[in-house]
Amino acid sequence: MIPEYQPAPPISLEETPEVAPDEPEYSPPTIFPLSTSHVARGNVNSATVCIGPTGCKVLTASNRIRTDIGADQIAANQHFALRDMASNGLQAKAAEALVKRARAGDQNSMAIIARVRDNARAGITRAIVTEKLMRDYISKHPASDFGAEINVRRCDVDDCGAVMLANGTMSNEFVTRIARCFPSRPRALFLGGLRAWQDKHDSACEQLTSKLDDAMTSIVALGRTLGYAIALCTLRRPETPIAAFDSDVAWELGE
Amino acid sequence: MPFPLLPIIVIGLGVGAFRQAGKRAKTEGVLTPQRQQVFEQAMQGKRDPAELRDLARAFRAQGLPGPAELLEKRAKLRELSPELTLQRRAAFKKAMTSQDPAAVNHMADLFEREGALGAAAKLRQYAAGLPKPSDHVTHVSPPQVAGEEDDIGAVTRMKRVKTQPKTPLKPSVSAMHRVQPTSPQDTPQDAPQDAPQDTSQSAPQAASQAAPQDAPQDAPSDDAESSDSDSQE
Repeated sequence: MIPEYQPAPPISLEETPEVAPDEPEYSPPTIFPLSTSHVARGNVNSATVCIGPTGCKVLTASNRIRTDIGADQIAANQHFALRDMASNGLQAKAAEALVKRARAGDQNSMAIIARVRDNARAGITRAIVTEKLMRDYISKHPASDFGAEINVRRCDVDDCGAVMLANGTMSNEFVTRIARCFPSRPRALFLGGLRAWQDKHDSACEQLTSKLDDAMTSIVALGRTLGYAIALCTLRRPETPIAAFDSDVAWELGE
Repeated sequence: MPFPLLPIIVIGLGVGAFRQAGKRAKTEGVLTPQRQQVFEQAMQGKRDPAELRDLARAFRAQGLPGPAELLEKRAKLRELSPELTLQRRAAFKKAMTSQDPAAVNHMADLFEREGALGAAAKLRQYAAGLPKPSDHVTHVSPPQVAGEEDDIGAVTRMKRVKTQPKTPLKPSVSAMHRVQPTSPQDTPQDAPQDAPQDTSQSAPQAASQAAPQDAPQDAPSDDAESSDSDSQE
């Protein structure tokens, strides 16, 4: 039973107070608070919400059902694959952040990079992987000769993730569980994104995320993705008016 | 001595008028970026039928019957019969539950032809989010330590699947979900220091170890990675 969807006013900057000086740095462990799979049109589709120290993401996978392997087995394999992807992706993001901070002149990052290099030469596997990821990022994103790197932070709705979650199992209860994973300020950002998922809130969200780092921006994006998923679930209920989903569409369809 | 200047002024005005006429002739029938912007804003934002009809007349006068027709259709959207609007609403809702991207895109085209660009855009957004399955089956090795992720549920599911006989799949859409512990205290195995360490033994190497037991020869081990590589980036 999916609870009633309540459209809310767009996100405002007042809801996200500045970080207090004594607030601890946001560094949650990597968790997967929601995983869902469903079968549709002969395919097994899986989605996993990943929350980690460097960001949040809805990871998705879709595979055809085969006669020799059951749907449950495929779904289990997909979830293992998504978790592996999450681990690799988070390490890549951390390597990218190190390079960016070092280019901006952060002495700590330079020292960490030097230590990673030394450990890689010493044969420590984790350091070798990190060094390779950093080299890959540097070769793909060479440093510019003048000016600082312009880092546009986008917090677009992940359409694929939202649709996969909506077609699987999605409810406000799951959203509440995910929101509880965050401390106060990230939770405010998550809930703000949840309310401001529509296209008309894009500019407000970009204005908000221009003041945030990548991890916080991904939290807003995750909130928007889940907001879209809940709106899709709510729209599918026969008694729900289309205006609850989108007022422009409702006008066009005579509501 | 104003008399000698008069012909010059007249000639100048004539040249100016000729140039303006030339410019108008050049832009007539052309959907310039400015006109495109006006058209899009009207199709997305304007709700007054009278304004939409005025704009349609202006577009038609400029030799642009296509946009003018769409604007007129949008103006008529609110004047349709109640039965037709009910049918359209039902069609929109049904399309938003469909699992077929081609069908949803076809419905979006139909709505666009009727001037309902907002509904068409939402349908296209939904169709873009529908999964595009790969032909191969995902195969990734189980965790290195057996039972390590039991609290998450994936290993438990794998064990259950191995011990239970396969049941025939239902053709209809079915959903199965797992809800994991949400608080960080409940999942000590997923601590951040563990995640990067796993990468040395994850997908490529471990899959090659596990593949002969449960994977067909032609199934790539990193199929899910390739199917979602864009979302990772």
